[in-house]
Amino acid sequence: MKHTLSGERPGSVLFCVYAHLSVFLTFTIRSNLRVKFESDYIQNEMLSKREGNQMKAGLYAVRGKQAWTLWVTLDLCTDLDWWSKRLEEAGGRFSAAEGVFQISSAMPLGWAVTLRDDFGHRPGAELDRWSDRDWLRYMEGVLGAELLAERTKVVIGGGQGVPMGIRSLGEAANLKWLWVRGRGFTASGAALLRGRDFPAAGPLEASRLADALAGRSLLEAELQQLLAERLPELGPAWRSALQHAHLQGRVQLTSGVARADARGGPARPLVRRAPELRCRRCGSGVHRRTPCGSCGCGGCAYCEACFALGRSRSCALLLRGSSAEVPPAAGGGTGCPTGSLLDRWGLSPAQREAAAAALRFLAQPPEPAAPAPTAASPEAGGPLRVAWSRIGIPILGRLLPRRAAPSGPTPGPPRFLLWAVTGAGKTEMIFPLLRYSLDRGGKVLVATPRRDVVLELGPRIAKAFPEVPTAVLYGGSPQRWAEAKLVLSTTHQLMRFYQAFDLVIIDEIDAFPYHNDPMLAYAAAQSCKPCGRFVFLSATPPARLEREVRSGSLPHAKVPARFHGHPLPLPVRIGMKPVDVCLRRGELPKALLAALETSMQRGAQIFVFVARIRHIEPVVALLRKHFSAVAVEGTSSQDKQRGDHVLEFRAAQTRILVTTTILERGVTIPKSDVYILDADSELFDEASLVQMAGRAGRSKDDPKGRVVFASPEWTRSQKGAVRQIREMNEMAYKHGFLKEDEEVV
Amino acid sequence: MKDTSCACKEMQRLTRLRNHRVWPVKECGKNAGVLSEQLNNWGRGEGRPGLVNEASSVSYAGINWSMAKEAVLSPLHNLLAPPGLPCLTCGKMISGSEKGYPEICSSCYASIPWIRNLKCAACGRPVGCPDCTREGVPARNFVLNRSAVAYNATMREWLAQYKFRGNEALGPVLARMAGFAAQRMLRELSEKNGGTSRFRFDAVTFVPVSEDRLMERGFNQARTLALEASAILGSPLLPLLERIRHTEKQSFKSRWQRLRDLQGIFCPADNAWDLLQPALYRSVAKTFPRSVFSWHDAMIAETSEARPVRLLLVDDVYTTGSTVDTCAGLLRELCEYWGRTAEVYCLTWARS
Repeated sequence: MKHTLSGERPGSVLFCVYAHLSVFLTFTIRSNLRVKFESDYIQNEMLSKREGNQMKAGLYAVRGKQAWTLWVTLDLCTDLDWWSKRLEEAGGRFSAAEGVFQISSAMPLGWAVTLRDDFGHRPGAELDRWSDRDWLRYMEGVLGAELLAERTKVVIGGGQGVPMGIRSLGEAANLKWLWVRGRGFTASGAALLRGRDFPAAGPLEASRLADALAGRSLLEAELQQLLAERLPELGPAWRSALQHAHLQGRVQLTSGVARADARGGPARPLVRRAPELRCRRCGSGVHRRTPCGSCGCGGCAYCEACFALGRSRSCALLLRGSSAEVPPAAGGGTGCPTGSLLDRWGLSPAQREAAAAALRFLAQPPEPAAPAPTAASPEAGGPLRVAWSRIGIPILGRLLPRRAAPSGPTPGPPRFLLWAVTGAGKTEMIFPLLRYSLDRGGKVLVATPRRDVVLELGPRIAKAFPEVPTAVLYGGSPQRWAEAKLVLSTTHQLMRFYQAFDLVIIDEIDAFPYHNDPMLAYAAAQSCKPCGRFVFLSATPPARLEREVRSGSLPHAKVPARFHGHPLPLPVRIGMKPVDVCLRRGELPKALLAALETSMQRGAQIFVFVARIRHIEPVVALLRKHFSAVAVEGTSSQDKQRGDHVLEFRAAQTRILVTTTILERGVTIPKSDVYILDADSELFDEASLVQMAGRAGRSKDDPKGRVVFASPEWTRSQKGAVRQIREMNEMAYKHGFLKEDEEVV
Repeated sequence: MKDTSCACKEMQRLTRLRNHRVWPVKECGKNAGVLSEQLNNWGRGEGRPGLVNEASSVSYAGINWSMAKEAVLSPLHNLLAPPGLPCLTCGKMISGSEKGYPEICSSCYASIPWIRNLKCAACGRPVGCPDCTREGVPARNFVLNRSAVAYNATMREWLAQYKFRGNEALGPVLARMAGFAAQRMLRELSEKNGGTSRFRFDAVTFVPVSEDRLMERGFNQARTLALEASAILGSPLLPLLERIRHTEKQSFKSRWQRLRDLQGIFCPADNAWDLLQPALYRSVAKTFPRSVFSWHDAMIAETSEARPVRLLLVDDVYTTGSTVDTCAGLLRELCEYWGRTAEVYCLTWARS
């Protein structure tokens, strides 16, 4: 190509031939040209990156008395200091180090974490003989998938192959001894300490940072926010403080996305599969790798499930602080502490009985079996598996199943279901539980999928527990980093906690978005301490829990009656054409209008539920035409003034509110009737029908609200909803929770 | 006997249909009595008063076979069909998608405000443009700007999803949209050229992000768009510019603040000319000679030092044009420094 640059004056046939030749050459080169430019660009980028290395971590090995371990570090100097001082105080939590061996001063965090997790503890004698090449070979073996992702061209921007990233491990690794016992710092170790990048922090700062991080699971960006609010004086020394806390075992350093089965053990699966990547914050599988400017990798994986809370990546630092253990109950007695605790709250008999059952559940001593696995435990492959491989039959060890995924339902803290009908007064029932746990020094959490419920619950709980530090968490909450004993939160915020709570209460477990979202279930499971307790609250538990209740594997208590002691209103059926047909005809059926008229005369406010958002406007118009004297409004999830409309309805300014399932729960109107149009729609399942029916008759002044299912056919879910309501009423009657002899059926 | 067995079969079918909540009805005289009676007793086995089945007014005498087939087969179909993918932008399952955009559903595709009719030939705005006609505005450093879409609330949300939330799966979608605009721009410029030869850019470049931002975000959105454009235009993608200073996010600023703040943010990359130089002579290869002599002339024209360097500058959003204008100015300065004139064209994904 340089030939044509000369710009000489052409004018001869010779030149034409020459030029033709160069054209041909250029043609062949052209296709590679962009790739060449690309790689130049990347190299520039990489070079400048090396100075910053924010998203990179150091990795070093420590030769202990018996075993070698790998450590990930953000500030190698702090670690070097720490290990060299361990010599004097050997016999502490860690055995003294024999030597510190640097593997890399800056490698992508994801790689460092993968190596560390794979390495575990290895016997010293064998590793002492390893040469640099052995180390590199080991690393190449472990990072096979990552290196492959670097080598293959990653597709971005519509099919252009772009070579990017780290070509070989040699680029990332630099192996050398930094410190050896007896000989002190090596030349490179001493040089490292002299050229300290970040200011050092003392043990005091470290413990303050560890306290602030206790029970949390944070990405680096979140850590920075926390530091800015809680520990602004720490400044750039946070790396050092964090590293101290990590070495003390109080904070785990890991990457946002890492291998699911990264905990090694000598046994490997029979068939080697590509390692499965998982987000360690939300538990979802991760499949997308993209070139990343932060760590310089060509294939940096990121989690697509939870990026709304900040992106969790292979190279994103994820910190998990371990929280202090709460000593077991001081009295030591396992007797049920019911009496005094329950009296204070003014519970109805039905509430009292269920709360007592829940308290008995809380007071049970923890089962000694099945200690919850921690990510740090080296023998997570199960003792049997390790035993097999120890005695030299690795094949048997391989045949044993690996540890179940953390999202698996079986292990984990014990659970309890409070199955309380709509309007039973669930919130009052959890007060004694909160009080019990708080009195024992525990941290408690009340989580619910819906933000408006959190906002409503906040003041009530603060009133009931004025002396307890409380935090209310939701997206954009000002109390995000506050220290609290009692936390009220949306279920999404649980992703920011790690083994923090002794009691986790999840309200409305069957509500969107918690229901059927494994990510939130994982987050909830992660937020509870291994020795903690789960209490679920629901009026309509999901099928899975209902099955567990029936089979007796899930302890539970049912609250079949409302707090005012009146039975739940039974739905009445009105036959009508589908709403679509009615709208086309431009009129609502007479039977329905007559029923609405009755409700109006009764002086009730009316919920009209429709299946489709597109039905709201025309139904509102029809109702306005018919009931011209009263205010009729409609609202849906797409309504910008939804909050205002609901408030107006609460304030009784609106008489009839047409809406969809978004208002099926959480709204309490003293005197209200419920009409469900197209009740046979598949959008209304049994649970949502029960919930919508539960909007009626909630007040003790008007316990007999009316519920109407209007539909062309009588479906299974409608039948099921009626059956469920009737069963609860019968049960309440049998237990004598109903005030007077009312007709129950 | 025959009648009842027939009724039984019909009944079984209707049971199945009922379970699938499809309730096909077709008027037909046969077996009407038996069936309608059975059906009307259906949902109220307990004989509860107050629950009146409205279906009693209709006679379920026959079956609409096309619907019946659907009712029986659709669960099977669902079982065997590949799992549906949720739409990248609205999250609902994709039932139908537009050609070329398989990641988003057709209703999201329909909401894209493509710029089809330009009102301002300079900045590519779909509505009347006071900025370009304002008195006393200094001359622009770029020739013209073209954008793929109008920057409305939906597009803002999409870009925020990609840029700030880091949903990189959206990158290819946005890049494809920008690529479409690049193609259209190329056609327009070729026509303006007289239509004899294809308009050609010597290089494609993009507005850089700062080091810190790249660290935080992991990618440069303008580069993703530029990569696609360079693939479509057949011109190399060159990082000619660098950003020196980390500014506040642009979205929080007033117009005047923006215009002022951009002074001294960008600079040409150290090796900009080294990157650009080969690209300038590369373009000779593009037109293969029809005859040796015509090509000869073309080549003289192409390699001549007097020919302006044509650069395409890519960015995500054009609001006041201050960012691209500054960058275009720098590119022109860069070329002037090496004794060449430059024509800078801008391609942005969205025009506000």
